[in-house]
Amino acid sequence: MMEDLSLHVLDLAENAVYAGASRIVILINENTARGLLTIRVSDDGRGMTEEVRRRALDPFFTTGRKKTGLGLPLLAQAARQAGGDVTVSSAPGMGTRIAARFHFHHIDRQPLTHMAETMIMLVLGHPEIDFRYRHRRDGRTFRFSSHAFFAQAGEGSAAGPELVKEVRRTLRSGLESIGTT
Amino acid sequence: MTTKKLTIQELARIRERTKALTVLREGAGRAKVTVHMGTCGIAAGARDIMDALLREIESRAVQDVIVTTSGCAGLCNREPMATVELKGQPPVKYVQLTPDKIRKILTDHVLDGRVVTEYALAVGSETMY
Repeated sequence: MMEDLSLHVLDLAENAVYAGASRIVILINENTARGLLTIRVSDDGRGMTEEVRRRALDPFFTTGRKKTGLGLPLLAQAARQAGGDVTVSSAPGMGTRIAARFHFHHIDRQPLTHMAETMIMLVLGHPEIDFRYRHRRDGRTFRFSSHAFFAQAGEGSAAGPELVKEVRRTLRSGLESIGTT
Repeated sequence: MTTKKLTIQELARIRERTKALTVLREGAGRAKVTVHMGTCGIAAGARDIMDALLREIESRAVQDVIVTTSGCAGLCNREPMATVELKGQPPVKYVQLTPDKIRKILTDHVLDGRVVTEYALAVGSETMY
């Protein structure tokens, strides 16, 4: 069981990495007035056949070498227990899009939390991939593109501790500015 | 989503930076640490391990260490795990990590070259089976 929804986002994005994506789009929308939280992760990776897509939420189905593939089923369970659902859209060569919806105020909805940490892992762990992240909360929006960020980051911060610090600061302050974490 | 178009110069900088970040794959950098970030690893706390590692790199101003992630290695019950590769040496897989353990691994193994045998599973290849 994942402790919070930002861990599910990390898991979905890691799936996209291993699907050979070069661009991964992460959209979070927290709408407290409508009582809706949506998470969408889309990639331009290799995509799934219809057979794989149909079974993607089955815990005993995987394309890996193991006997289980629990990432998506766990997300689906987390969504269902919060009165929501998960949709998987994919086709071979067309990438994959996972969309999850949650009742924002549902007592069993896991907290989102730690989106900054999730994004830091992804951006620094896979610098070759362009992560496009948009987080909206009640009309206020924070946007972050990892490749645009690398292009603008100061000289001398190529690979080391300075870059880690800059990425952390940018994500933290961006999320704080829209009233979330 | 609207994003402004990148210029050629910006693309060149992205390329340079990405190259610097992935330099070990071409045989340059000092070490690579791979944190296993499959579903099992994430559920067991892999993000906290990588966070502790990046914070240590940040606070101690460590250069030339590549931090990346990989999928499930088939030992879900030993997660969180990480693999340390020093240039020219066989990779070492560490199991059941905590933030304290990964900080010790960074200090002793990555920076000092001494394998932390009490946390290591085995010395050998990335593929488990």
